Amino acid sequence: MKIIVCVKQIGYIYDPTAINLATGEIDPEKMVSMLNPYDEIAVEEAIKIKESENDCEVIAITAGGPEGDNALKYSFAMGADRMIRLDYENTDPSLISLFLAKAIEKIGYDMVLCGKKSMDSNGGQVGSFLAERLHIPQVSGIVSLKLSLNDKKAVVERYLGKGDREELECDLPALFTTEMGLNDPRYPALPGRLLADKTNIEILDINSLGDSSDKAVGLTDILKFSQPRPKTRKTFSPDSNLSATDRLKLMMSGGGAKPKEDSNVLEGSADELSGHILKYLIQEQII
Amino acid sequence: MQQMNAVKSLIVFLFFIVFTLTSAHATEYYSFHMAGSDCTMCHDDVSGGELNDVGTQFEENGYRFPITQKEILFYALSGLAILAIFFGLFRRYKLWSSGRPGAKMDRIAKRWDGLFVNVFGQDKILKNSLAGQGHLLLFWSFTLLGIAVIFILIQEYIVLPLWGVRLINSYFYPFFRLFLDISGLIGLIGAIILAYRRYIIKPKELGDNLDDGLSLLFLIVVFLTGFLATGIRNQLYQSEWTNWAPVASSLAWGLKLVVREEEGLKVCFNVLWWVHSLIGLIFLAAIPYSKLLHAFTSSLNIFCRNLEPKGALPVLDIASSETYGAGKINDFTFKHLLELDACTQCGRCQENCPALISEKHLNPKSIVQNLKKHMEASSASNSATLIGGPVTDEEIWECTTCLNCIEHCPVFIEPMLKIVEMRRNAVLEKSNFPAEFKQIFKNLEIFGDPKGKGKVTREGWVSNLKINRIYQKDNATPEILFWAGCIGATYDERSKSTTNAVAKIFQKAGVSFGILGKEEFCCGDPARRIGNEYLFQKLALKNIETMKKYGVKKLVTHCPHCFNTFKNEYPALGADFEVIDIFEFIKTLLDQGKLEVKSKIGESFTYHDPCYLGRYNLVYETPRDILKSHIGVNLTEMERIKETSFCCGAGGGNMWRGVSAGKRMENLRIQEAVKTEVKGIVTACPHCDIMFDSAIQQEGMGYTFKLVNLIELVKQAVL
Repeated sequence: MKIIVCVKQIGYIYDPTAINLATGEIDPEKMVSMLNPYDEIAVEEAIKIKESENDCEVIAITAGGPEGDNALKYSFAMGADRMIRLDYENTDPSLISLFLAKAIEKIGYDMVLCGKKSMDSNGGQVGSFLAERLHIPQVSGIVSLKLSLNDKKAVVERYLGKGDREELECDLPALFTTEMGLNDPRYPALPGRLLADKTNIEILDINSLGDSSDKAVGLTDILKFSQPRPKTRKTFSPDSNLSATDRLKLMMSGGGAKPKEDSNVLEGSADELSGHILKYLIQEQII
Repeated sequence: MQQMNAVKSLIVFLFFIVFTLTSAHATEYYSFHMAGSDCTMCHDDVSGGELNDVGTQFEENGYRFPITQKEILFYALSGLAILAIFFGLFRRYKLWSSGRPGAKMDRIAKRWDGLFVNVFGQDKILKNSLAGQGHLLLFWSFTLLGIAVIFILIQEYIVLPLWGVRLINSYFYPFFRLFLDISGLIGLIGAIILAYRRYIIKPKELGDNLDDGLSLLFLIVVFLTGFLATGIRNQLYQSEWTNWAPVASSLAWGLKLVVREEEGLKVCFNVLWWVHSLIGLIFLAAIPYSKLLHAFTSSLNIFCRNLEPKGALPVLDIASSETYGAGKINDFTFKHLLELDACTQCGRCQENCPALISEKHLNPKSIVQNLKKHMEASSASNSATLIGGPVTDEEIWECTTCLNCIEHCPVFIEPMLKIVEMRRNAVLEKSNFPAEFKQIFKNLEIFGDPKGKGKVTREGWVSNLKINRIYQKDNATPEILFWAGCIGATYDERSKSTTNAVAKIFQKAGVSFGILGKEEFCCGDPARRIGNEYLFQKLALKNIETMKKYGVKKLVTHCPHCFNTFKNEYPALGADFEVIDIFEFIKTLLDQGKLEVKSKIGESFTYHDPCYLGRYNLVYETPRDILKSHIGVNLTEMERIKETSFCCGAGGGNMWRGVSAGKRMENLRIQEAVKTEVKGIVTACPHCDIMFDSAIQQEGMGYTFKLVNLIELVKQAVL
């Protein structure tokens, strides 16, 4: 049995002020590079199946630049057998899925597993596009997967919200995208990590996948960035070391404002403040 | 290293054989031949005058007596005993050798010194005074008697045949007789003290071991029969030297009240002699199988002890290792396996282990003893995994790496290091560890801090202070790097305030310092203690690179865990910056007047010695000095302080574990602190701060018992 798992090395933004609204640039210090957690769940599911079936191969595939190698190595350390990177750095899901589909068709597969969405672009589209291009059925956001390979079927469950689930039966081959709660991904043991460093990663040039210039159209375009409205549920609790003014500023902006060094707001003890106020009043010729 | 171990063991084996042979021969000489008399056996009078018939015959026969049946039997038995010892010890040696090589033999001079202080001086054993004194007497009794028989050996086989000189002559013999008597007496007293402690006082940590009890019983019987036999012999043959063996003679006098006739006494003498000899031989033969093995293995272990800094865990060379840590018994090194045999089951590790005191599963003595039994049975099941076998999962993870077991072991066994080895195998090879650690590992790898807050949050504590960031190129390189650490910078508000306080104190004192701020990565201590050596090395190498990049020469930090790992563990990975003890630094600032105490605290507090500052790095007095002599705190000490300070429970990854068995260590410690009836507890470690904060809230003492870091008190006094 061949299981393809699509993985992505994401740049996860952990600080909401990371994006420069004017230029769209992301502050690299407010971002960390990691394997997309949903993809990690997909890898774990594939490995679990591999461990319970005879003769099962798990192929980890990614589309991206050299940082994608990290996602592949982590997947390999978890138990994947092969690592393939499509050397392609476009972010458009239609284009990514086009080339992934070509690569996957060449490899051959019985099942494709993807993460529900990536936690940097949060598009959640590549999986669905990919299933369409491969002409296979898809179920998104599965939280349970049971295979019966004899009848080439799979039974999956999805959240419906408010504690409800639905159960679906699907013919194989199929594509599933994983939701949080499907499994608890293992922490890779050291021997796997070291072996991953030594194992060859197959790097595919998209041109080697055949001519597709007619279908190679990007379908998405970024128009603008805007600041999200401060979330009402969580209150930003600022550092209690800061002065009251700074704290207020931070709370009002949801953590966005930087405490300014020079400003017209005065700080200090009663003695100091009265001195400053007097000086200001005299300076402005009010008294 | 294997060759060195073989040579070492051979030398000690030889010593033992020589010792045994000399005992046999000395016994032979004075028992067989002097059993009849004293000097008048061969001479006309006690001052060694003319030779009589017996004496002349002896001299003509080249100072050898004709061999009797009794002698042959005794020699045969001695021979068997010696073979038994030899094979037994060799078998033990083979068990230890089934492990990986690894007993460092560097700094030999220091090792000999340690041997003298701890074996002949019994230094660490005397920390428990009753057991220590009893054992001291027993040990010295045997040592002195051993010296005596070597003396006889030298006389009989070297000095007398070669030069016809008798060292133990009529003048010297009485003192020699007295010397033997007193040596035996102190041994008897020692044995009785130990038996009293074992069977009357019955301390819990000692356990009840039949083997140990039997050894004590045998010892007491050996001493008593020895005294009685000597005393009766002196009586029977009207020796001139009766008064020079007061103990023997008094005991024999007691026997004489019961057995009056001479014939009866002669029978008694023979019986006593054989009982004494046989028990002695059985003792010797049983050395490899009984408690007495410790005389050999404990001494050997003291000699081979770990001389690395206490706080440094061994570096695992990942690139060249096929297996990691200890998954099965022979993954342990020779040294670790030797330690299993060096354990005398005294229970001092157990007595002081906070996990056991808080009623968890972990018991360091049990770990050592269970591993020992597993090692002995290992010929059958060498590949059996340790966790789930002789050692359980719960035990391994309950260790807080507080170092109490290593601190208190009188023979320098290191149960904690065995636990870390097993953790390394579980984490690195099998990825089998408590679930809470998974996210910690991932956060460390991805974000560089255990809670995953991210690097830009690391400068929040700076607030509105103007502090030099050394990564900003236009700044002059400061003299000292102040390291905030993860707790101090990212995830605890109280500790962020403490970090801020350090900076304020330094600025007040005019110290030139800078910070790395968001360029800090976790020092790696939590990863290493949990057993993830791979992650630790990754973090450490990153930090070392950062230090080199900015030319960091001196580092100071207020987190003892960071302090310990930078000082004791980073050098082995290539770091070359000096690590300053912050409390020593602050004390110096106070002494030099750079910090002036504006208002003394004037309240009563108690002080908690953090494990990583106290036991790990021997910083006990400086914080107390600051408290008492400088900032005016009335210090009342708790019961368990300094080397026996009770762990707050945060170490070894346990701060992040949710549910734990038994009681909570931090609660026990706060209960102990409250007994001193002071205003609050002073800590010197951010981990302790977090643990005690939670404990105080849980105990409902939030308004009645204060928790304050020493740094905050200093700030309060000087700002």
